Amino acid sequence: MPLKLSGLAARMDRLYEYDREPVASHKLQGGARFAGLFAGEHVAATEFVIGAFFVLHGVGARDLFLGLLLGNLLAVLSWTLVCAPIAVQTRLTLYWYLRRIAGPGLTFVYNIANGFLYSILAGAMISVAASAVGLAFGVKTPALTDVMPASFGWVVLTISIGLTFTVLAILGFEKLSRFAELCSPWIFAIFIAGAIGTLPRLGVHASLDNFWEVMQTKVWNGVPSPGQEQFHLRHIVFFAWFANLAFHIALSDMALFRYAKSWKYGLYSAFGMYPGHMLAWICSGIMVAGVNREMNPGLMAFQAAGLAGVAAVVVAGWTTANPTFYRVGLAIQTVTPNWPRWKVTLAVGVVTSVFSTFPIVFTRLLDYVAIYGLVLMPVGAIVLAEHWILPRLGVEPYQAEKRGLVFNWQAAVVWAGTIGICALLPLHLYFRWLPGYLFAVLSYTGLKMAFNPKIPAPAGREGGR
Amino acid sequence: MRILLGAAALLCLVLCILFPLMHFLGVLEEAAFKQGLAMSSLGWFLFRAGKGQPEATRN
Repeated sequence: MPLKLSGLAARMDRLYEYDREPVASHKLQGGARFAGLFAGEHVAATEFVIGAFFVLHGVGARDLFLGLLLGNLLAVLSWTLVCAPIAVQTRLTLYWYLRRIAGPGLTFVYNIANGFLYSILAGAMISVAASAVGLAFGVKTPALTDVMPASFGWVVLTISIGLTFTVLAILGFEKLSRFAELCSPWIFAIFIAGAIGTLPRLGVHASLDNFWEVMQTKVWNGVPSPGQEQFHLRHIVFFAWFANLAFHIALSDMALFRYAKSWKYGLYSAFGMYPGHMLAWICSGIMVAGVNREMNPGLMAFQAAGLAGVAAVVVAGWTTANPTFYRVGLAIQTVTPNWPRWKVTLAVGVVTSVFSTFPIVFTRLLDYVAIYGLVLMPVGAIVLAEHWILPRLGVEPYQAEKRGLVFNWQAAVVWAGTIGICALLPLHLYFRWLPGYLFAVLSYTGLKMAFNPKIPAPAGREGGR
Repeated sequence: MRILLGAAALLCLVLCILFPLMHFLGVLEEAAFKQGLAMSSLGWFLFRAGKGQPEATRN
């Protein structure tokens, strides 16, 4: 089995070979590049659903604005103080750094887990796009309580859209992904346009004298929709913080920040959090209030911005799903080395399309985002402990690499144990990751101190301080 | 040429915000604002696609 796992890991190494070396100094990027990237990447189809759900969960206007300000600040600080410093020091992607720490076997498991979780998220995006296309064909969007596909029309619609996205990816993934980057400013503009266009329907005067009053009584009025749990300030703070947990605390964005000139470039993530997440969530909240809180992203965008709104929902869904086919495809290619690229993309597309038929992937999107971050978060804790804590405690880091281990069992135990403990914690799902993260850091450090060799003292320093 | 196409695309993006703003201020009817938004969106796509694509930014 270990031999088999090492074979799979070796195949995966070959796929990621192109970014194996640390980034050279002449390839470092300026701050404007990071600002643009963050601003573009954090306005996706999920934003149509997340902001609307805050309204359905009955959060008050004050709690929403304050929660988004605080939560997004914590996210920016997580990028700046956790992710960027490690990336700038190592100049490696998480894949290659984790390989040194956890061994190629566990890194392989991480990649598969990440790919699987990501494809469910892409399934949700296809569902969101289907809610828009369904308007033209009279296909009803599933109710918030639906778990299984409710109608044959919905299944046909989601599968058709998923397969269309898949065929487009097969025809030219790279060109499409670059074109998808171009779409971001327009999607962002449609969010703002949709919100402004909805204001007259909500009764906001052109003088804006009753703006805050309308926001408090008709949008974020503190009354949850039937069957929805009431949200307060703490829920919004934590959601805004962990919405990108996989990227900052779980360190996926090392791939980005390894190009940064300084760890302070982490602050550029504010361009993705404030004009990105915060504004987009506020806009989609206003839009859903304009359709009497009906959770149907397609209808919501159509009522708010007409055909451009519908197009924005479809394009946003597609631009999120498209890179997924590539990322998940890389993971799948490891176990199917003889498959051509088109076959891998087709397989990923079909699986993702099947996920999209289940309404639960988007009707419980907020919970899924929490679970996604929670599952990957222990990996970030393990890397943090190995990078910052172990050397200071005199424990030799990178034992997996130095001893040629395929599988760092301490990391595997901490990862699985943390998820187990998080599942049992008597806390709301949104608040579990933080104690789980502290547990992961402490338990990994403890295991390493107990079982790993200490850093040998330099010659002539024995008996020193 | 690229600069001109870029400027035209930017103008369309600005129009995407201006049309709903004019509707909010009571200058445009809802149908007219949505039509304007659709047209300026189409314009943005055409001009931006014509300008060319940026380099890949992330692996």
